[in-house]
Amino acid sequence: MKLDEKPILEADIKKEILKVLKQAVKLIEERNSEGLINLSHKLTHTSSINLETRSVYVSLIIYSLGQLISKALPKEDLKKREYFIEGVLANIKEGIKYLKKEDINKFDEIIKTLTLDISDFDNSFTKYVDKVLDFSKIQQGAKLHQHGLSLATVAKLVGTNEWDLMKKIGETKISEEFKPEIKNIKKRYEIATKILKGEI
Amino acid sequence: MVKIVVDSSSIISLAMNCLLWVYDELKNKNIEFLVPTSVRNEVINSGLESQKYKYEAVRVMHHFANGTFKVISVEDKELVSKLIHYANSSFYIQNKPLKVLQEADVEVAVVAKQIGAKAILTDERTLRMFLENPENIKEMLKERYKSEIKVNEKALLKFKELIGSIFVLRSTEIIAFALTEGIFDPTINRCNLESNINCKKEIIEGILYSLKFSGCAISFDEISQYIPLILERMHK
Repeated sequence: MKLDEKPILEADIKKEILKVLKQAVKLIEERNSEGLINLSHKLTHTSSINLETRSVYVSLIIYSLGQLISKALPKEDLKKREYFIEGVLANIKEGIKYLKKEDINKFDEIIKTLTLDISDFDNSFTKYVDKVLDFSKIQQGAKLHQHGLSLATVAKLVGTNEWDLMKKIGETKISEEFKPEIKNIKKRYEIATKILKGEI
Repeated sequence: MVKIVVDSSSIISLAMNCLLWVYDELKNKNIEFLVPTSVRNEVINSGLESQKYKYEAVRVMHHFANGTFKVISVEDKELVSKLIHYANSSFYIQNKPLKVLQEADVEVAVVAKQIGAKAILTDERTLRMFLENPENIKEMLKERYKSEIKVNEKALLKFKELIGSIFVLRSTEIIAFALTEGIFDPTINRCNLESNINCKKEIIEGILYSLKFSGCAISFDEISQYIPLILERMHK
Protein backbone atom coordinates (compact mmCIF):
# COMPACT_ATOMS: atom_id res chain seq x y z
CA MET A 1 0.00 0.00 0.00
CA LYS A 2 1.36 3.39 -0.99
CA LEU A 3 0.12 6.76 0.08
CA ASP A 4 -1.17 8.89 -2.78
CA GLU A 5 1.73 10.62 -4.43
CA LYS A 6 -0.02 13.97 -4.63
CA PRO A 7 -0.09 15.84 -1.31
CA ILE A 8 -3.71 16.76 -1.88
CA LEU A 9 -6.63 15.85 0.30
CA GLU A 10 -10.21 16.76 -0.56
CA ALA A 11 -11.88 18.97 2.03
CA ASP A 12 -14.62 16.48 2.96
CA ILE A 13 -12.16 13.58 3.34
CA LYS A 14 -9.85 15.77 5.45
CA LYS A 15 -12.80 16.73 7.64
CA GLU A 16 -13.77 13.08 8.08
CA ILE A 17 -10.20 11.96 8.90
CA LEU A 18 -9.80 14.80 11.41
CA LYS A 19 -13.06 13.93 13.11
CA VAL A 20 -12.10 10.26 13.35
CA LEU A 21 -8.58 11.00 14.63
CA LYS A 22 -9.93 13.27 17.38
CA GLN A 23 -12.36 10.56 18.47
CA ALA A 24 -9.51 8.03 18.31
CA VAL A 25 -7.38 10.13 20.70
CA LYS A 26 -10.18 10.04 23.27
CA LEU A 27 -10.71 6.29 22.84
CA ILE A 28 -6.97 5.54 23.08
CA GLU A 29 -6.75 7.57 26.28
CA GLU A 30 -9.61 5.46 27.65
CA ARG A 31 -7.93 2.28 26.29
CA ASN A 32 -11.30 1.50 24.70
CA SER A 33 -10.46 -1.27 22.23
CA GLU A 34 -14.05 -1.95 21.14
CA GLY A 35 -14.65 1.75 20.53
CA LEU A 36 -11.52 1.95 18.38
CA ILE A 37 -12.54 -1.04 16.26
CA ASN A 38 -16.02 0.41 15.71
CA LEU A 39 -14.55 3.80 14.88
CA SER A 40 -12.29 2.27 12.22
CA HIS A 41 -15.35 0.81 10.49
CA LYS A 42 -16.83 4.29 10.15
CA LEU A 43 -13.99 5.20 7.82
CA THR A 44 -14.73 2.21 5.60
CA HIS A 45 -17.53 4.13 3.86
CA THR A 46 -15.17 7.01 3.09
CA SER A 47 -12.44 4.66 1.90
CA SER A 48 -14.72 2.69 -0.38
CA ILE A 49 -16.25 5.76 -2.00
CA ASN A 50 -13.08 7.77 -2.45
CA LEU A 51 -10.47 4.99 -2.71
CA GLU A 52 -8.39 7.39 -0.63
CA THR A 53 -5.38 5.56 0.74
CA ARG A 54 -4.94 8.00 3.64
CA SER A 55 -8.36 7.12 5.03
CA VAL A 56 -7.50 3.43 4.54
CA TYR A 57 -4.24 3.90 6.47
CA VAL A 58 -5.93 5.80 9.30
CA SER A 59 -8.62 3.15 9.50
CA LEU A 60 -5.98 0.37 9.61
CA ILE A 61 -4.00 2.16 12.34
CA ILE A 62 -7.10 2.64 14.50
CA TYR A 63 -8.25 -0.94 13.98
CA SER A 64 -4.76 -2.27 14.79
CA LEU A 65 -4.60 -0.19 17.97
CA GLY A 66 -7.97 -1.58 19.02
CA GLN A 67 -6.60 -5.08 18.48
CA LEU A 68 -3.35 -4.37 20.32
CA ILE A 69 -5.14 -2.87 23.32
CA SER A 70 -7.51 -5.84 23.54
CA LYS A 71 -4.68 -8.42 23.52
CA ALA A 72 -4.09 -10.27 26.75
CA LEU A 73 -0.38 -9.89 27.45
CA PRO A 74 1.99 -11.20 30.08
CA LYS A 75 2.83 -8.68 32.84
CA GLU A 76 6.28 -7.86 31.46
CA ASP A 77 4.78 -6.84 28.10
CA LEU A 78 2.03 -4.67 29.57
CA LYS A 79 4.49 -1.92 30.54
CA LYS A 80 6.02 -2.07 27.09
CA ARG A 81 2.58 -1.70 25.52
CA GLU A 82 1.67 1.29 27.71
CA TYR A 83 4.90 3.03 26.72
CA PHE A 84 4.20 2.25 23.06
CA ILE A 85 0.62 3.55 23.21
CA GLU A 86 1.73 6.83 24.76
CA GLY A 87 4.14 7.26 21.84
CA VAL A 88 1.39 6.51 19.35
CA LEU A 89 -0.91 8.99 21.04
CA ALA A 90 1.71 11.74 20.76
CA ASN A 91 2.18 10.94 17.07
CA ILE A 92 -1.56 11.02 16.36
CA LYS A 93 -1.88 14.41 18.07
CA GLU A 94 1.02 15.63 15.93
CA GLY A 95 -0.72 14.27 12.84
CA ILE A 96 -3.91 16.15 13.71
CA LYS A 97 -1.90 19.39 13.93
CA TYR A 98 -0.35 18.85 10.48
CA LEU A 99 -3.67 17.97 8.95
CA LYS A 100 -5.27 21.12 10.34
CA LYS A 101 -2.39 23.14 8.87
CA GLU A 102 -2.93 21.37 5.50
CA ASP A 103 0.66 20.06 5.65
CA ILE A 104 -0.16 16.79 3.92
CA ASN A 105 3.49 15.78 3.41
CA LYS A 106 4.15 15.92 7.15
CA PHE A 107 0.83 14.17 7.84
CA ASP A 108 1.84 11.36 5.46
CA GLU A 109 5.16 10.99 7.30
CA ILE A 110 3.32 10.59 10.61
CA ILE A 111 1.00 7.98 9.10
CA LYS A 112 3.97 6.02 7.71
CA THR A 113 5.75 6.19 11.06
CA LEU A 114 2.67 4.98 12.92
CA THR A 115 2.21 2.06 10.51
CA LEU A 116 5.86 1.02 10.84
CA ASP A 117 5.78 1.43 14.63
CA ILE A 118 2.70 -0.81 14.94
CA SER A 119 4.33 -3.41 12.73
CA ASP A 120 7.64 -3.29 14.67
CA PHE A 121 5.94 -3.40 18.05
CA ASP A 122 3.81 -6.34 17.00
CA ASN A 123 6.85 -8.19 15.62
CA SER A 124 8.64 -7.78 18.92
CA PHE A 125 6.34 -10.19 20.72
CA THR A 126 4.06 -11.82 18.15
CA LYS A 127 5.81 -14.64 16.39
CA TYR A 128 3.32 -17.39 15.82
CA VAL A 129 -0.05 -15.72 15.37
CA ASP A 130 -1.34 -13.36 12.72
CA LYS A 131 0.29 -9.98 12.91
CA VAL A 132 -2.08 -7.21 13.94
CA LEU A 133 -1.48 -5.05 10.87
CA ASP A 134 -1.91 -7.94 8.43
CA PHE A 135 -5.01 -9.06 10.30
CA SER A 136 -6.42 -5.52 10.13
CA LYS A 137 -5.76 -5.32 6.39
CA ILE A 138 -7.71 -8.52 5.79
CA GLN A 139 -10.60 -7.45 8.06
CA GLN A 140 -10.81 -4.02 6.44
CA GLY A 141 -10.40 -5.58 2.99
CA ALA A 142 -13.38 -7.87 3.56
CA LYS A 143 -15.44 -4.88 4.73
CA LEU A 144 -14.53 -2.95 1.57
CA HIS A 145 -15.46 -5.95 -0.58
CA GLN A 146 -18.77 -6.05 1.25
CA HIS A 147 -19.20 -2.44 0.11
CA GLY A 148 -19.14 -3.60 -3.51
CA LEU A 149 -15.48 -3.24 -4.47
CA SER A 150 -13.94 -6.14 -6.37
CA LEU A 151 -11.26 -8.31 -4.77
CA ALA A 152 -8.57 -6.89 -7.05
CA THR A 153 -9.59 -3.32 -6.15
CA VAL A 154 -9.55 -4.10 -2.44
CA ALA A 155 -6.24 -5.99 -2.54
CA LYS A 156 -4.58 -2.99 -4.20
CA LEU A 157 -6.19 -0.48 -1.86
CA VAL A 158 -5.32 -2.09 1.46
CA GLY A 159 -2.11 -3.76 0.35
CA THR A 160 -3.01 -7.35 0.98
CA ASN A 161 -3.36 -10.39 -1.29
CA GLU A 162 -6.40 -12.06 -2.81
CA TRP A 163 -5.56 -15.37 -1.08
CA ASP A 164 -6.11 -13.95 2.39
CA LEU A 165 -9.14 -11.98 1.21
CA MET A 166 -10.83 -15.03 -0.31
CA LYS A 167 -10.37 -16.97 2.92
CA LYS A 168 -11.79 -14.10 4.97
CA ILE A 169 -14.74 -13.57 2.60
CA GLY A 170 -15.60 -17.25 2.95
CA GLU A 171 -16.16 -16.61 6.66
CA THR A 172 -18.61 -13.76 6.04
CA LYS A 173 -22.22 -13.59 4.86
CA ILE A 174 -21.32 -11.79 1.62
CA SER A 175 -22.40 -14.72 -0.59
CA GLU A 176 -25.82 -14.80 1.05
CA GLU A 177 -26.57 -11.24 -0.12
CA PHE A 178 -26.35 -11.84 -3.86
CA LYS A 179 -29.47 -12.53 -5.90
CA PRO A 180 -28.21 -14.26 -9.04
CA GLU A 181 -29.97 -13.79 -12.36
CA ILE A 182 -30.47 -17.54 -12.72
CA LYS A 183 -31.97 -18.34 -9.33
CA ASN A 184 -32.90 -21.86 -10.28
CA ILE A 185 -29.88 -24.02 -9.56
CA LYS A 186 -31.13 -26.77 -11.89
CA LYS A 187 -31.32 -24.33 -14.79
CA ARG A 188 -27.89 -22.89 -13.98
CA TYR A 189 -26.41 -26.36 -13.74
CA GLU A 190 -27.94 -27.41 -17.06
CA ILE A 191 -26.60 -24.37 -18.90
CA ALA A 192 -23.17 -24.89 -17.28
CA THR A 193 -23.15 -28.57 -18.32
CA LYS A 194 -24.08 -27.75 -21.91
CA ILE A 195 -21.32 -25.13 -22.10
CA LEU A 196 -18.72 -27.47 -20.61
CA LYS A 197 -19.73 -30.26 -22.99
CA GLY A 198 -19.52 -27.86 -25.93
CA GLU A 199 -23.20 -28.26 -26.73
CA ILE A 200 -23.87 -24.50 -26.71
CA MET B 1 -12.35 -27.48 -27.60
CA VAL B 2 -14.46 -25.59 -25.03
CA LYS B 3 -12.75 -22.38 -23.97
CA ILE B 4 -13.23 -21.02 -20.47
CA VAL B 5 -11.51 -17.86 -19.20
CA VAL B 6 -10.49 -18.17 -15.57
CA ASP B 7 -10.34 -15.45 -12.91
CA SER B 8 -7.94 -15.43 -9.95
CA SER B 9 -10.69 -16.24 -7.43
CA SER B 10 -11.46 -19.64 -9.00
CA ILE B 11 -7.81 -20.63 -9.09
CA ILE B 12 -7.36 -19.59 -5.46
CA SER B 13 -10.44 -21.38 -4.10
CA LEU B 14 -9.54 -24.68 -5.81
CA ALA B 15 -5.87 -24.33 -4.80
CA MET B 16 -6.83 -23.79 -1.16
CA ASN B 17 -8.77 -27.07 -1.23
CA CYS B 18 -6.15 -29.17 -3.06
CA LEU B 19 -8.50 -29.46 -6.03
CA LEU B 20 -6.36 -28.02 -8.82
CA TRP B 21 -6.01 -31.55 -10.25
CA VAL B 22 -9.69 -31.29 -11.31
CA TYR B 23 -8.64 -28.72 -13.92
CA ASP B 24 -6.14 -31.26 -15.32
CA GLU B 25 -8.87 -33.90 -15.57
CA LEU B 26 -11.25 -31.48 -17.28
CA LYS B 27 -8.55 -30.48 -19.73
CA ASN B 28 -8.51 -34.15 -20.77
CA LYS B 29 -12.22 -33.76 -21.46
CA ASN B 30 -11.51 -31.08 -24.06
CA ILE B 31 -11.88 -28.01 -21.87
CA GLU B 32 -9.27 -25.32 -22.29
CA PHE B 33 -8.64 -22.97 -19.36
CA LEU B 34 -7.30 -19.58 -20.38
CA VAL B 35 -5.88 -17.14 -17.87
CA PRO B 36 -5.16 -13.46 -18.63
CA THR B 37 -1.56 -12.44 -17.90
CA SER B 38 -2.62 -10.00 -15.17
CA VAL B 39 -4.59 -12.74 -13.39
CA ARG B 40 -1.66 -15.18 -13.55
CA ASN B 41 0.67 -12.56 -12.11
CA GLU B 42 -1.74 -11.60 -9.33
CA VAL B 43 -2.28 -15.19 -8.20
CA ILE B 44 1.34 -16.33 -8.37
CA ASN B 45 3.19 -13.18 -7.32
CA SER B 46 0.96 -12.37 -4.36
CA GLY B 47 0.99 -16.02 -3.29
CA LEU B 48 4.79 -16.21 -3.46
CA GLU B 49 5.11 -13.05 -1.36
CA SER B 50 3.00 -14.58 1.40
CA GLN B 51 4.45 -17.09 3.87
CA LYS B 52 1.01 -18.65 4.24
CA TYR B 53 0.27 -19.21 0.54
CA LYS B 54 3.74 -19.61 -0.94
CA TYR B 55 3.40 -23.34 -1.50
CA GLU B 56 -0.09 -22.97 -2.96
CA ALA B 57 1.34 -20.48 -5.45
CA VAL B 58 4.03 -23.01 -6.40
CA ARG B 59 1.34 -25.64 -6.94
CA VAL B 60 -0.58 -23.22 -9.16
CA MET B 61 2.62 -22.66 -11.17
CA HIS B 62 2.76 -26.39 -11.81
CA HIS B 63 -0.59 -26.20 -13.62
CA PHE B 64 0.70 -23.44 -15.87
CA ALA B 65 3.82 -25.49 -16.56
CA ASN B 66 1.84 -28.61 -17.48
CA GLY B 67 -0.32 -26.61 -19.88
CA THR B 68 -3.62 -26.92 -18.02
CA PHE B 69 -3.74 -23.14 -17.63
CA LYS B 70 -2.77 -21.22 -20.73
CA VAL B 71 -1.74 -17.62 -20.41
CA ILE B 72 -3.39 -15.23 -22.82
CA SER B 73 -2.78 -11.55 -23.43
CA VAL B 74 -5.47 -8.96 -23.87
CA GLU B 75 -5.43 -7.58 -27.38
CA ASP B 76 -8.03 -4.85 -27.07
CA LYS B 77 -6.65 -2.60 -24.34
CA GLU B 78 -9.01 0.15 -25.45
CA LEU B 79 -11.99 -2.05 -24.68
CA VAL B 80 -10.58 -2.69 -21.18
CA SER B 81 -10.30 1.07 -20.59
CA LYS B 82 -13.81 1.68 -21.88
CA LEU B 83 -15.31 -1.05 -19.72
CA ILE B 84 -13.47 0.20 -16.63
CA HIS B 85 -14.74 3.69 -17.38
CA TYR B 86 -18.36 2.60 -17.76
CA ALA B 87 -18.32 0.20 -14.81
CA ASN B 88 -16.74 2.77 -12.54
CA SER B 89 -19.16 5.50 -13.53
CA SER B 90 -22.32 3.40 -13.24
CA PHE B 91 -23.05 3.95 -9.56
CA TYR B 92 -22.87 7.18 -7.60
CA ILE B 93 -22.88 7.69 -3.86
CA GLN B 94 -22.86 11.21 -2.45
CA ASN B 95 -22.36 12.41 -6.03
CA LYS B 96 -19.13 10.44 -6.33
CA PRO B 97 -18.65 7.51 -8.71
CA LEU B 98 -17.96 4.22 -6.99
CA LYS B 99 -14.84 2.64 -8.47
CA VAL B 100 -15.70 -1.01 -8.07
CA LEU B 101 -13.68 -2.80 -10.76
CA GLN B 102 -9.99 -2.99 -11.68
CA GLU B 103 -8.28 -3.86 -14.96
CA ALA B 104 -7.69 -7.48 -13.96
CA ASP B 105 -11.44 -7.96 -13.35
CA VAL B 106 -12.44 -6.62 -16.73
CA GLU B 107 -9.63 -8.37 -18.62
CA VAL B 108 -11.25 -11.73 -17.87
CA ALA B 109 -14.41 -10.66 -19.68
CA VAL B 110 -12.48 -8.97 -22.52
CA VAL B 111 -10.39 -12.08 -23.17
CA ALA B 112 -13.59 -14.15 -23.20
CA LYS B 113 -14.99 -11.85 -25.86
CA GLN B 114 -11.69 -11.86 -27.77
CA ILE B 115 -11.59 -15.65 -28.16
CA GLY B 116 -15.35 -16.19 -28.35
CA ALA B 117 -15.51 -18.09 -25.06
CA LYS B 118 -18.99 -18.97 -23.89
CA ALA B 119 -18.23 -18.55 -20.23
CA ILE B 120 -15.92 -17.09 -17.67
CA LEU B 121 -15.06 -18.80 -14.42
CA THR B 122 -15.09 -16.59 -11.34
CA ASP B 123 -15.92 -17.18 -7.69
CA GLU B 124 -16.04 -13.49 -6.98
CA ARG B 125 -19.25 -11.58 -6.54
CA THR B 126 -18.55 -8.13 -8.02
CA LEU B 127 -17.76 -9.00 -11.65
CA ARG B 128 -20.48 -11.65 -11.64
CA MET B 129 -23.03 -9.09 -10.51
CA PHE B 130 -21.99 -6.77 -13.32
CA LEU B 131 -22.37 -9.53 -15.89
CA GLU B 132 -25.46 -11.21 -14.46
CA ASN B 133 -27.54 -8.80 -12.50
CA PRO B 134 -26.28 -5.20 -12.37
CA GLU B 135 -29.64 -3.99 -11.01
CA ASN B 136 -28.87 -6.02 -7.91
CA ILE B 137 -25.73 -3.95 -7.33
CA LYS B 138 -27.85 -0.87 -6.64
CA GLU B 139 -29.87 -2.72 -4.00
CA MET B 140 -26.74 -4.15 -2.42
CA LEU B 141 -25.03 -0.74 -2.29
CA LYS B 142 -28.14 0.94 -0.91
CA GLU B 143 -28.30 -1.59 1.86
CA ARG B 144 -24.60 -1.40 2.61
CA TYR B 145 -24.17 2.39 2.55
CA LYS B 146 -27.61 3.23 3.99
CA SER B 147 -27.59 6.02 1.45
CA GLU B 148 -29.24 6.92 -1.86
CA ILE B 149 -27.52 5.37 -4.86
CA LYS B 150 -27.75 7.05 -8.23
CA VAL B 151 -27.43 4.81 -11.26
CA ASN B 152 -25.98 6.11 -14.50
CA GLU B 153 -28.19 3.97 -16.72
CA LYS B 154 -26.35 5.04 -19.88
CA ALA B 155 -22.99 3.89 -18.52
CA LEU B 156 -24.46 0.61 -17.33
CA LEU B 157 -26.11 0.01 -20.69
CA LYS B 158 -22.86 0.80 -22.52
CA PHE B 159 -21.04 -1.70 -20.30
CA LYS B 160 -23.62 -4.36 -21.13
CA GLU B 161 -23.52 -3.58 -24.86
CA LEU B 162 -19.74 -3.72 -25.02
CA ILE B 163 -19.38 -6.94 -23.09
CA GLY B 164 -22.34 -8.79 -24.60
CA SER B 165 -23.66 -11.99 -23.13
CA ILE B 166 -21.20 -14.16 -21.21
CA PHE B 167 -22.27 -16.94 -18.88
CA VAL B 168 -20.64 -16.94 -15.46
CA LEU B 169 -19.47 -20.24 -14.01
CA ARG B 170 -18.24 -20.67 -10.46
CA SER B 171 -15.89 -23.34 -9.21
CA THR B 172 -18.95 -25.04 -7.71
CA GLU B 173 -20.36 -25.56 -11.24
CA ILE B 174 -16.99 -26.94 -12.36
CA ILE B 175 -16.96 -29.36 -9.43
CA ALA B 176 -20.60 -30.37 -10.01
CA PHE B 177 -19.73 -31.15 -13.62
CA ALA B 178 -16.59 -33.07 -12.60
CA LEU B 179 -18.61 -35.14 -10.11
CA THR B 180 -21.25 -36.09 -12.67
CA GLU B 181 -18.56 -36.88 -15.24
CA GLY B 182 -17.07 -39.49 -12.89
CA ILE B 183 -13.89 -37.56 -12.15
CA PHE B 184 -14.33 -38.14 -8.42
CA ASP B 185 -15.24 -41.85 -8.75
CA PRO B 186 -11.82 -43.11 -7.53
CA THR B 187 -12.14 -40.84 -4.46
CA ILE B 188 -15.66 -42.16 -3.81
CA ASN B 189 -14.53 -45.78 -4.25
CA ARG B 190 -11.66 -45.36 -1.79
CA CYS B 191 -14.02 -43.71 0.70
CA ASN B 192 -16.45 -46.66 0.35
CA LEU B 193 -13.67 -49.13 1.18
CA GLU B 194 -12.86 -47.37 4.42
CA SER B 195 -16.22 -46.35 5.77
CA ASN B 196 -19.93 -47.06 5.82
CA ILE B 197 -20.98 -43.42 5.40
CA ASN B 198 -22.79 -42.19 2.28
CA CYS B 199 -19.55 -41.32 0.53
CA LYS B 200 -21.09 -39.66 -2.52
CA LYS B 201 -23.20 -37.30 -0.45
CA GLU B 202 -20.44 -36.55 2.06
CA ILE B 203 -17.94 -35.80 -0.70
CA ILE B 204 -20.34 -33.50 -2.57
CA GLU B 205 -21.24 -31.66 0.62
CA GLY B 206 -17.65 -31.51 1.75
CA ILE B 207 -16.37 -29.98 -1.47
CA LEU B 208 -19.21 -27.47 -1.93
CA TYR B 209 -18.96 -26.20 1.63
CA SER B 210 -15.18 -26.01 1.56
CA LEU B 211 -15.37 -23.94 -1.64
CA LYS B 212 -17.92 -21.64 -0.03
CA PHE B 213 -15.69 -21.19 3.02
CA SER B 214 -12.79 -20.43 0.70
CA GLY B 215 -14.64 -17.44 -0.72
CA CYS B 216 -16.70 -18.89 -3.59
CA ALA B 217 -19.86 -16.77 -3.90
CA ILE B 218 -22.46 -19.48 -3.35
CA SER B 219 -25.19 -19.32 -0.72
CA PHE B 220 -26.15 -22.04 1.76
CA ASP B 221 -29.51 -22.27 0.00
CA GLU B 222 -27.85 -22.88 -3.37
CA ILE B 223 -25.66 -25.61 -1.86
CA SER B 224 -28.67 -27.36 -0.37
CA GLN B 225 -30.29 -27.34 -3.83
CA TYR B 226 -27.10 -28.55 -5.50
CA ILE B 227 -26.52 -31.65 -3.35
CA PRO B 228 -29.64 -33.67 -4.41
CA LEU B 229 -29.25 -32.46 -8.00
CA ILE B 230 -25.67 -33.71 -8.29
CA LEU B 231 -26.56 -36.97 -6.56
CA GLU B 232 -29.42 -37.51 -9.02
CA ARG B 233 -27.17 -36.82 -12.01
CA MET B 234 -24.44 -39.10 -10.67
CA HIS B 235 -26.90 -41.99 -10.56
CA LYS B 236 -27.89 -41.56 -14.23
